[in-house]
Amino acid sequence: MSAVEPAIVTSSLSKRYSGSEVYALKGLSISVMPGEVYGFLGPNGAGKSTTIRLLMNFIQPTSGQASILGLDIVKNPARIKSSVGYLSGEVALYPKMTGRQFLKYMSDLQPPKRASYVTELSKRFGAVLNQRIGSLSKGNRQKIGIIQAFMHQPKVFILDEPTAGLDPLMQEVFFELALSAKADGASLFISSHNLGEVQKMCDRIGFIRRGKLISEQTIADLTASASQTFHIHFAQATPMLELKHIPRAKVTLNSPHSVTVRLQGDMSPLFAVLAHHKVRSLDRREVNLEEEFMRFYKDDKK
Amino acid sequence: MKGVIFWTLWQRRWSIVWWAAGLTAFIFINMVFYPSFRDQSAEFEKTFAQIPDTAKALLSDTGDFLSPVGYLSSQIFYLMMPMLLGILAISAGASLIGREEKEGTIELLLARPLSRTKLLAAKATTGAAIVIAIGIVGTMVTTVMAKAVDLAVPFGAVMLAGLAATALALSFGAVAFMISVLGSLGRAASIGVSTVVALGGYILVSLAGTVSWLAWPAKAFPFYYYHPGEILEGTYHWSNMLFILVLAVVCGVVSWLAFRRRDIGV
Repeated sequence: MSAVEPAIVTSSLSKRYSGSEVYALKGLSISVMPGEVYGFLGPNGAGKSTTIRLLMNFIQPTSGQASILGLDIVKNPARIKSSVGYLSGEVALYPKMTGRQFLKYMSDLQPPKRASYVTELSKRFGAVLNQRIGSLSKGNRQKIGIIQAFMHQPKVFILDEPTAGLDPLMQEVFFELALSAKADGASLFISSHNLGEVQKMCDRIGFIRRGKLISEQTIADLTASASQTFHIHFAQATPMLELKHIPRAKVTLNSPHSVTVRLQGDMSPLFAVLAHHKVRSLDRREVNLEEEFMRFYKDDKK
Repeated sequence: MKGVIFWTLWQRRWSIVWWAAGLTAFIFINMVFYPSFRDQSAEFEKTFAQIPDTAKALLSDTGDFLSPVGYLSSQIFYLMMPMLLGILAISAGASLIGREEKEGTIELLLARPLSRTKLLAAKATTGAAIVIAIGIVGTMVTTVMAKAVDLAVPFGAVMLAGLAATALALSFGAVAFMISVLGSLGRAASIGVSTVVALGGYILVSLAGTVSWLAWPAKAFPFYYYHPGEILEGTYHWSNMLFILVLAVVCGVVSWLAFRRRDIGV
């Protein structure tokens, strides 16, 4: 039985723009498996768009290699594109065309596997297809951008900020669509700032900063390593001394009887302390990756 | 490739219609006065005799404004048609790839299974088709008007002069296309350089007859090889057209070499 090959592979992929001393991307080595959603995160200017533009062969690598579905991105860009759905971060469509004309143009260049699928997608998103694109809101343009990326049912999706401009309802429609593509075995490479999007969709996340991949984790690992927050209200005075001895805990006294504890990793020492005291209430805040993201983002400013 | 050609033409459909209408009107206005010129040729000859040779050279390659060939060359084929078609060709050449790249829509096209070579070929074909279509309209209108005003120049000669004017305009468009496709210089440079090639060439070549030292640099411009008066008289050496065609081909090859591996949208 042959091993499953990654859908996207980059190997020491680097890019230095002409006239620049600095590498926009340096030595990126990642792989995305079929049926996997890979979130690519980082602050502005970190190299996310450069990576996407390299994968799409809009720009040429300075060094290193990348392949999509086993084909080299530089040698076989046109063949690769028959299996790739792409959405740019700044969706640039033809403003004088209507949505319908635009989708017809894209269909002429790459006929969908099922013509009715375009109509289905349009209905799902409630896309406005009879007006000129230039007169549409950012959200409505984004819907058309998403439809053109999905309409030929590709095996690989490369999406830059796919939910930008969409209202929460449409974001849900997008998540459903993306997860259904994933269920069909498609790979999704998504650049995002939207934490909800990442939490809901991604299996794995790569953090990029100043052109370098600084961390790569599964959502499960990230969630496990993320700190959890407890708001505890004691019947008597807060046992600060005992709480402060809990390993990897950050304790903030709110009032003589109330405390906030941020805890990373094993929670049993906290409950061991609480077992010896009368606790009136205990609220656990939903695990949120925001703090983890902020950690990466804040480090960038140092 | 057919999709890009069709939709690019579709996007420019109104522009094509307006260009055709504008050129038709311009030719009509110029041709409709021929009978008046012909009937009052004695008076006009006195007037033209007072015009300096340098100024005459800017208006006609024959120095004759009143004979059928002289009128057609000076009013239509020497300056007006190649320059109007040239403006169209330069504007198309500078924008077919340049505008798509500037506005980011080129990514939509290159995200499809369409090689850069095919995209370039499709855009170049579209540009050439637009210029040729408008050139045909101009030539046909000239032919019809020549017949209508009894301007005695053979039909075939008018057609060939129209063909040569179109080819000259295409060479200007090819220069604009090449510079815009090189990427780093931008659309303004594309329009600027190709305008210098077109307009600068016309001025240099026109003045070269009276300013002898301009004769040599004039040879570097396609306009030097374009002699509509000779085409209308049937004495033109068509080998001259080689320069214009080679220039267009060289621009096409350079465009292809530059575009197939360069960074897009940077």
